[in-house]
Amino acid sequence: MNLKQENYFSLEANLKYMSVSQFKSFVPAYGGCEAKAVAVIKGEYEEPPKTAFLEGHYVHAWNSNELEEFKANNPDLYSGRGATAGQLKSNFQHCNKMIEVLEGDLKVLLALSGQKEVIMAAELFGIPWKIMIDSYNPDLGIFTDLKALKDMDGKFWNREASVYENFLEHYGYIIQMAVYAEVERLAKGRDKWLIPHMVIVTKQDPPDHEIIYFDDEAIMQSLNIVRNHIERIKQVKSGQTQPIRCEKCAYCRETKKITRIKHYSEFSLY
Amino acid sequence: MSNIVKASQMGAYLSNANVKNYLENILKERAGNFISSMASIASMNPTLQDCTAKSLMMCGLKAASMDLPIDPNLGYAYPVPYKNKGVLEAQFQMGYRGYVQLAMRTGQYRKLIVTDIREGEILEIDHITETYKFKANLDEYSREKSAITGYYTMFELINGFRKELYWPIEKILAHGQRYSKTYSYDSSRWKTDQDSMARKTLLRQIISKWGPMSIEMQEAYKADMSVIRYNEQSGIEEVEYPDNAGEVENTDPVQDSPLNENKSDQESLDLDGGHNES
Repeated sequence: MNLKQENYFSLEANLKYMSVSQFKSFVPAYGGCEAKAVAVIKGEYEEPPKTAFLEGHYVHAWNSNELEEFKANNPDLYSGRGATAGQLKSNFQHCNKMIEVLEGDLKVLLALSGQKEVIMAAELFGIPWKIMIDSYNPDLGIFTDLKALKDMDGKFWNREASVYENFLEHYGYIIQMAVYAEVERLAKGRDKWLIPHMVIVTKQDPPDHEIIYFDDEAIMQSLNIVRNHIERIKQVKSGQTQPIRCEKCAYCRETKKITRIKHYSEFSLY
Repeated sequence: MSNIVKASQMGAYLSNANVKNYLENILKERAGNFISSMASIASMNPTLQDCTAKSLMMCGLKAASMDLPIDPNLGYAYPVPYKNKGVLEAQFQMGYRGYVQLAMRTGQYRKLIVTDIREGEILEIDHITETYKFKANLDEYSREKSAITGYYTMFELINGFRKELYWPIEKILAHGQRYSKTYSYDSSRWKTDQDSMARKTLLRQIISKWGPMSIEMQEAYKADMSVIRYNEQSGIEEVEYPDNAGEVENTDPVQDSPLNENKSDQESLDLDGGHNES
């Protein structure tokens, strides 16, 4: 299968290739659930669309110079009724503000320079992986991912590991950058990794923004984390092992059947 | 960076007037003992000596606040070296004995057991009815020679509530592999001291999910595997959880972003005066 923009997110591509988001969708420490992940890959369950995703796509469309086309293809961006009918909905007007912040910072423009939405694939840990890089600039020795987030201050309790995490760890962004660096290195036959960067713009008013980079040590550690999980994921994805239900996510709640009565003290705070 | 005092100079660091004052404020009459014990802990382990003196002191204080010894030989709590942006710091880790000690102090536990189970010792296990029957191999010599099949833990409270848990060794290792981001490092305690990590894993499972936890135990649970920092402005103790604990090798200098290079070129580009550094 020849991976391209049109089929990158298709069921077929997700079945054939592992991606970072698919990887995370299997791992509880990243908020994943094996049962849901398998149902999504089989096409039996579809994540309900979230406004936050559309806002992210809006900002990405700006980065790939496709904002006008994106607006034209998404009538949902516009208010349909009342005095504001025909105008961009307020959250997307705020996205314009976020874009202005990015456009106004030359370091951001430098970090986001290069080829846009570059698709690559390589075999990693014995299976094919696919990645899509937001901005690819090998001449500068970097690639960059763009993220639109609520804020950068979150402190997240990782119940499984009993630790607090920052947003980079919580959302698995370091893992994402590490896999991108390794797949790019393998696909291009490079000795060394390009330096992964992340441009972050927040949805706060006024928006905050930051450019972050990740060093080789972060890449090595994160690839180790992937290595620790991947064998089980391969087995579950291929159907050799039954997926475990988390009983917490939307999919599990929708398909839940009670098989055992719980003792009242089973509800842990941690 | 140059004014960071390493733990190899722990004695000198702790006798600094400001530090001493701070310790005396917190520890009162125990400050003297604390200073001498911290200096001796720093001298025991060469890797710890390269950690910052402050991080080691904060580890010691965390243990002192729970009245637990931090001497690694005793197994109650450990200072573990880890590298953070090229700087070695001591991370606080609870040992399983520390959890047992804190549980005992609540006065609510009548019994608390955590033990390895060897081949041939399991008579019956039924997780649904929670039936666990074992028969200990009383021949110590042959027991030591048989393989560990798993770990069993159990507690009974004064009010009669009882809870048991058995995890096969494969499950414990998979848990470590899954949730410890440092599992695969050679310096990880999962590699160097698997037995106590297995015991701790089961104790944490059963106590945090089922057992009564005193404020002290909740504090221990949260501080476990963290670096304790003292925020001088707010005067508040903060816990930070590094994700690379245990890895002390590979001390290459930290890379920089190429976007930070050519400062003179950037100055002409950077209109708002390097707001990123703020």
